[in-house]
Amino acid sequence: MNKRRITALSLSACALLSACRGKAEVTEKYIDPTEASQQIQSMELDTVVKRAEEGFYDDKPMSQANAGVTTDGQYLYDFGSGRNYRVDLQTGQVSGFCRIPGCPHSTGTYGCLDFEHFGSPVATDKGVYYIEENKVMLCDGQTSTCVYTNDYYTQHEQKVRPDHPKDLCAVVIHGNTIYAVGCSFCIPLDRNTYKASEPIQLSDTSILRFSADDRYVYFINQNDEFFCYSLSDNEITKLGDKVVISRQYEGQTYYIQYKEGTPILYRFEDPASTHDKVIENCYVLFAITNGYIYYQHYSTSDIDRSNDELDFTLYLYDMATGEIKAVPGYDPGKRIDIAYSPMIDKIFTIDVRNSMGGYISGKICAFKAGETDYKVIDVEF
Amino acid sequence: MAYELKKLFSSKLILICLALLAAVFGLLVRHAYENRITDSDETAAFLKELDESGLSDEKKIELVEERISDIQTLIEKGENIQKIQGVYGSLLADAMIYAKARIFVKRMLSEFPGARKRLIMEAYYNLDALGKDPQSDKREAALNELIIEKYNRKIDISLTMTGELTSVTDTFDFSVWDVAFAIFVIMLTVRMFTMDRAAGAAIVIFSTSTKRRCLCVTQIFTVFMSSAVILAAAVGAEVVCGYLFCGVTDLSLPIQMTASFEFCPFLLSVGDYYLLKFLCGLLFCLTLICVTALLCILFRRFLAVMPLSVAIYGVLFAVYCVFRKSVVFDRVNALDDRFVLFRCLRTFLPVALTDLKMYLTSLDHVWIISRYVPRIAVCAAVSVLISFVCVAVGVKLYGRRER
Repeated sequence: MNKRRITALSLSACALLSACRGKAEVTEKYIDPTEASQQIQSMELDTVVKRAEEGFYDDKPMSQANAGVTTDGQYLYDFGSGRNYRVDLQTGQVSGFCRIPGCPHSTGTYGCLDFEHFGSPVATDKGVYYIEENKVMLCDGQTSTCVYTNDYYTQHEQKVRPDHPKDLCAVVIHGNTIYAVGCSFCIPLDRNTYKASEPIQLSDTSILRFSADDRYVYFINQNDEFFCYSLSDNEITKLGDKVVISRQYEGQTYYIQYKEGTPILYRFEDPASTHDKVIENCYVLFAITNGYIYYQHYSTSDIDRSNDELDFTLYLYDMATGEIKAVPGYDPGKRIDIAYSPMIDKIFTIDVRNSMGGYISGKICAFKAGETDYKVIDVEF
Repeated sequence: MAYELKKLFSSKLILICLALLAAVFGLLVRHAYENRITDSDETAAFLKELDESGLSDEKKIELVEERISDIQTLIEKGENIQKIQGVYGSLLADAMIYAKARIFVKRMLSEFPGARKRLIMEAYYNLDALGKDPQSDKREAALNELIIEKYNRKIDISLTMTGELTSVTDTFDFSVWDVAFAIFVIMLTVRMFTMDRAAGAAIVIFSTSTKRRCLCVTQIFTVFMSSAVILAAAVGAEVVCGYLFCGVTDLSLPIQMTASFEFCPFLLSVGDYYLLKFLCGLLFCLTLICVTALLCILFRRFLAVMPLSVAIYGVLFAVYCVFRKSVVFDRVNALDDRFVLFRCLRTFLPVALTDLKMYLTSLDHVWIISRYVPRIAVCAAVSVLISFVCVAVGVKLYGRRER
């Protein structure tokens, strides 16, 4: 066989395969640039953000409820609806959390962060902190760095998690401190240097909820007992029983305590001072912003009732006047997730579900503090 | 060159290896045959009817839903749909065809454009946000522009069944045959470059420098052309298997119609995919031949070069496979070091060219000198560079000692 024959044979193979090529003429577009521009201009949410000295951080407490929702002042993130997404707080634009260059964010895409699990995410202006086994990680949507690795554990961790005693449960941020919360302890980390202080042993049972202010850390154990730990004199004081959540807002601690099956919202400025009753019949996912509390009703007797019999109205409580208003025309038909931060002037009710094939759909309603009108953000993603 | 070809294929060992290579390919064909699709004709007929109906996309989806709903109503009334005559046999058969068609129609007419629009709109939105930020990263803006450029081009989707191209690629791409073929190419190259020496003809052949250079290039070219013919035959056989067993009958359809290539940013048809696969395989062959040829020139003996070349290929292939497994099967996320390393391997390792599908499932570009370049192009350039360096060094050193 000579050179010509071989060359001819190879060229024929190429030509044969080339003949199978389809037409590559494309003139039509999916979205016209002008239309895109108009759509962007029409979007507005205009959230007012207050920035603290320490920069923006979500001071949300550790709690199973609403665990996947967090905000960094620029975006509201939802890591708990089956697909990780974010909402721009200025425009209301919904997009995926994943920022990996070129990622099309589909279920079949390798490595896409929209479908990854982020344990106990807490957003800050540096990125989103989350837990990965015994590590505190910081992710900006493109890269992730480990900021702290925990090696501390007690007999309790050994007992409840014999295979992974060093694993952490949550991240809680207050001021310049990141609390890496374990099963029965917490480790304060400096937010800038990530230097760890000595572990604080809080309980001999598992901690289910955790929050912090300048002087105390508050925790609720698996028996729903509410405690505070003084950061100045290292003392633990029991504050109550049947408590399901506590969190801080503008120097005050709010907590929900069950009394005869009804959840009651209390507040105090100092654990030793009087605890004021704020709202009776307040569901665990309440939201406080600019002197108003948004909440739904809930009672243990509701467990036996069907959804049709229950009241899912969203109420607005004015802390200055004590007036309670129902939000007209808003009936989510279920208990809703509420996201808020003292640093933004809005609260967000989130009603987003998993659809087929890795898609999510639903709506987010943005309420400006004290108002019953709201803007609806459709989530089809 | 005829002499070189004769030199190569006169050996029984090479012919046996060629037969073994064919046998390995035969195993893949058998696998494709065992997993063949048999029931796509009626669905394709229904889809064709729908495609030619002239209805809008929404109406087409509605029509399929209506047909399914009608059958469901009959089931609810207690009718035995197996005994009622439908369009494509019994109503039960119709129901199955409509159900299959519904998935396809929804994906093509609703989910596919929806996903593209979302990506494009997000890119426009990102560009808008970046425009307002004076300190924004130039790279990020360029990426969003690239997303718009690549995805905001309407793909000519028709309701024609593409067949199971994924099944073809799963069977034939990056398979055991690629390993066997690479080892065969190494064997051809080593035989080509060591036989003259083993036969004692080297002193005469290497008598002049012009002849040496010419001979080196001719030998590389001969092995390359032989490999190209085998590769072309393999890709051709893959096309035939796809046609016969997997229903991949229309090679002019956009590759994006196949679910696993939905986000392919290049305007490729199924035929283009096969062609690209052939060209990438050819480029990898060239690199392999050039590197092996250089090793032959340096080490000269068959028994030294053959294991060394196979070991180098084997190690690189194994490393690639380990990271590929982490990404494809263990599904590590993009933040994981293994994912990042896998991306690097796909940029610089020529063996990655044999795993074409990985380059075409998303916008896989690399930022090089102020612009985004397709990763596959970078890998191809690296392969060409390696080949060129090996040939240049090889030609310079070839037969020098004998002289």
